[in-house]
Amino acid sequence: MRIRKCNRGSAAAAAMLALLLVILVVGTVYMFVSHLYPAPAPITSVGAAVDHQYDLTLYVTGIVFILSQLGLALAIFRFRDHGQQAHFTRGNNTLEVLWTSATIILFLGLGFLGRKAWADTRFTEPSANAIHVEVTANQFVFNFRYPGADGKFGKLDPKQISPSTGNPVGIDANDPAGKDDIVVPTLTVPVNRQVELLIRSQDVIHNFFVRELRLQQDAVPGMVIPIHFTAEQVGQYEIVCTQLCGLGHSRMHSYLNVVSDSDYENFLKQQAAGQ
Amino acid sequence: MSSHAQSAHAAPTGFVSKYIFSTDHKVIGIQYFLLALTAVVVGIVLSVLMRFHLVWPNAHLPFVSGGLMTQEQYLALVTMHGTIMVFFVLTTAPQGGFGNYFLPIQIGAPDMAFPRLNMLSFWVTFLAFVAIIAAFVVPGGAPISGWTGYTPLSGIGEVTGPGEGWGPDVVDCQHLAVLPCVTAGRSQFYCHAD
Amino acid sequence: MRAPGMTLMRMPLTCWGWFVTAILGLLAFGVLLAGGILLLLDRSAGTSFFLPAGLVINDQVQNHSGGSPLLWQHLFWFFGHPEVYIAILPGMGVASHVLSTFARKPVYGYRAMAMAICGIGFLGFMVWGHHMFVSGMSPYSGFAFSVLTMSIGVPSAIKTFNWLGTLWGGKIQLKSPMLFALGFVSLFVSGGLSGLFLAQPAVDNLLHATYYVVAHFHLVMGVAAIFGIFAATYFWFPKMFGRMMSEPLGKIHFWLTFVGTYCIFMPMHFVGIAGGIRRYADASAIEYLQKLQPLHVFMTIAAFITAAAQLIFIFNFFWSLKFGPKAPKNPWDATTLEWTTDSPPPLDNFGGEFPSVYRGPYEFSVPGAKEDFIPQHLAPAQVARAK
Repeated sequence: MRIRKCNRGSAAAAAMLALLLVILVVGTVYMFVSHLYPAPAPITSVGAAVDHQYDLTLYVTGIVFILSQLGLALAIFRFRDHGQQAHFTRGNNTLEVLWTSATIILFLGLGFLGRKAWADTRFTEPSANAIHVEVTANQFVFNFRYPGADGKFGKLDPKQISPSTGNPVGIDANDPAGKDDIVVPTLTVPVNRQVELLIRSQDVIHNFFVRELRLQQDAVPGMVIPIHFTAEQVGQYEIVCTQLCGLGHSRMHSYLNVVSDSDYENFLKQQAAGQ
Repeated sequence: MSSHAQSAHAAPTGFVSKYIFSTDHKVIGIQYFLLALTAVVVGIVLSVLMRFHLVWPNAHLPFVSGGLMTQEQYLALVTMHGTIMVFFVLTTAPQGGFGNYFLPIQIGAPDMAFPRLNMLSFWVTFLAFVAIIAAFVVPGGAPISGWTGYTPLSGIGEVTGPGEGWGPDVVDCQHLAVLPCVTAGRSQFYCHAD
Repeated sequence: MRAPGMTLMRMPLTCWGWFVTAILGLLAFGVLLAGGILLLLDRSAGTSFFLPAGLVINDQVQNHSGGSPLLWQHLFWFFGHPEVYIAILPGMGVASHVLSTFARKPVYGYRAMAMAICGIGFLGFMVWGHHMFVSGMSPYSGFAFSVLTMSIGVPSAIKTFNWLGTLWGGKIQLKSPMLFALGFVSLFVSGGLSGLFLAQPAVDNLLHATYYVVAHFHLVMGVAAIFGIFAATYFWFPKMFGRMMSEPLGKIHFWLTFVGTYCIFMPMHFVGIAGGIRRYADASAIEYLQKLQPLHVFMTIAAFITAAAQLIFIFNFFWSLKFGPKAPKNPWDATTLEWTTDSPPPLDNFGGEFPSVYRGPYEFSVPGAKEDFIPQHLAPAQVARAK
């Protein structure tokens, strides 16, 4: 076969491209491994399970990433045009079957292994002694409602929403169960007790997200969506809105305060006394 | 379908039928490509402004009234960047541009299955692009709900805030315009390869 | 309308890409059209397709009722997901085509590649719910969408392995189209793998609506797909306009864009993992976002440089239209039918002499042949044999 004149200049270009890919791999691996900008440590065991699934995915994708990019670099450099003849092949069916099967097992296996971390936040019912807090999102604040001493949430009436007179969620004044409801702009919960959040919205879609819980849920108007968690570490954690909700989207935030049992009781007492 | 009988259409004369309203898939392909090139320049400018704002939010910008970019202007940039790039670069250049130009040639055909539909398809896309750009200047300004336009933020109108006036309606009309013509254009690819 | 001898299995992979993309477009855009009409009605005709009862906006109780915000999301994403495959499939076809041409080797596993394009197109219609894991949709359907989304990684991986197989043992010529095709492969691997995190709802709890998502879709859609367009432009410019683009300018454009886009979008993953939320106009209100600013500065500088580098491409494009050296019929010694006709082609594409096809589209370096490529249209008797 007539071998065409090779392009000598391509050796430098091939080396440079291969080197760039190597730098890409090294740089990316370093950034992921060095945790320069990490997510904060999770404060729930389900959060830890989410992290475990993330780490597993990182190992799998990391290995595939390294092998593919380095394989590409190697191919580019080793088979750069230096006057050789290309090796004719249409492919290899055995190899196709092998790498297809391996990919199926790897990807579906990964997905399967993550099912519990998802189920634990969404499929399971809260325990009987969970604390219930209703989260109401609206442009551009979060309000948190506790049922108070009677353990019952009062009915809500959109027409009675009045933030300026202390009724931001619109508790129906005619419902006696609502008289002792506590509405506050930050979320205070006791450590090591399960909390069920009932997430709702007054106007557009918002989202309740706390990084340390590894949990977020859209607040959809017309729906009340329950999620639950058990915080295992005292501290203050930021709550942010992640669903674009209008002009104030980047200003919409609150705090999750995880406190000791006694501090939680004091909080409830103080709020009740202030009513 | 007899490809050779169709190829006997007379060569167009005159600038307008040769370069503006041509039914030749090659000219239409180039038209789509140039539209995509214009759109990508607009899209890149929007993204550069976005990135600039993220790093220097308090910088004084000469072309913005009041000097500082507002929240709604930023969200309008985000929304329009996404909409323009997805609808006028990523669906036009690869498929409408190169697909139109080279699918017939690579399979040995003289043109697309429906040349006039192809031509209409491009010009409706062009009108849709004009509509998109118009969203910046209509009352209420460009939409701010992201290219995904989740409701109710995008669904109620000006009540939810600036950027929800005419802008989303105009963008929505763009959807209505570009979609049937894209669909029509696509159907040719399908008939063609059979 | 295909030429005699042009069976489906002899079509260039570019045609497979356009073909499947066309079917996706036909089936998906109609749903967006429907959703768009319903939205327009909600906004101006008082309907409530997407608006539930009891909305209170700016202290006004809205009198819509009966609608569901989730319905919009389903309609939008049923279109939206095939839409992103519409953006990438032609680029995949171009990548296969260009890699084969400039490695002087057939596409490795042509049949598998064609099937993978069809597989991606088909599965692309079944995964839309992965945009909605935390939307309030049933978590059970979330799990179903997750399994389907992980599955779509399989044909994508097959394509990547076959691209590597195409290069392996080749004779790689690093012209501009090839540089962009190689860049496409690298970027598609990077962007595709980050999708595996987002496909799992448990991990999505952390990453949804953060900059991780933005990094993922920009790498696949905003860079890989664009590299597909660049590869196609540099490859087919000589055919379309009868002139060659400047090779040195093409190379500079490639290096700056390849490095630049990785510098923009790789660090973006870390903004997302740390909790950087997308569509935030500024970070000043959220305490934990402040320490992510150095990443934003780096990405912005990279964005400025990369955006400026595109001017090189625009200049090269328009300058070459007028002043580029005249292009021959087949400057790349390629095998497919467009290279048999003039540059640019005549009105009916082939000057009255329509070709017939005798072989597949990627017959490069065939043992026993005199040249290292055998065009599709050469009858067997015309193919010169090596001595």
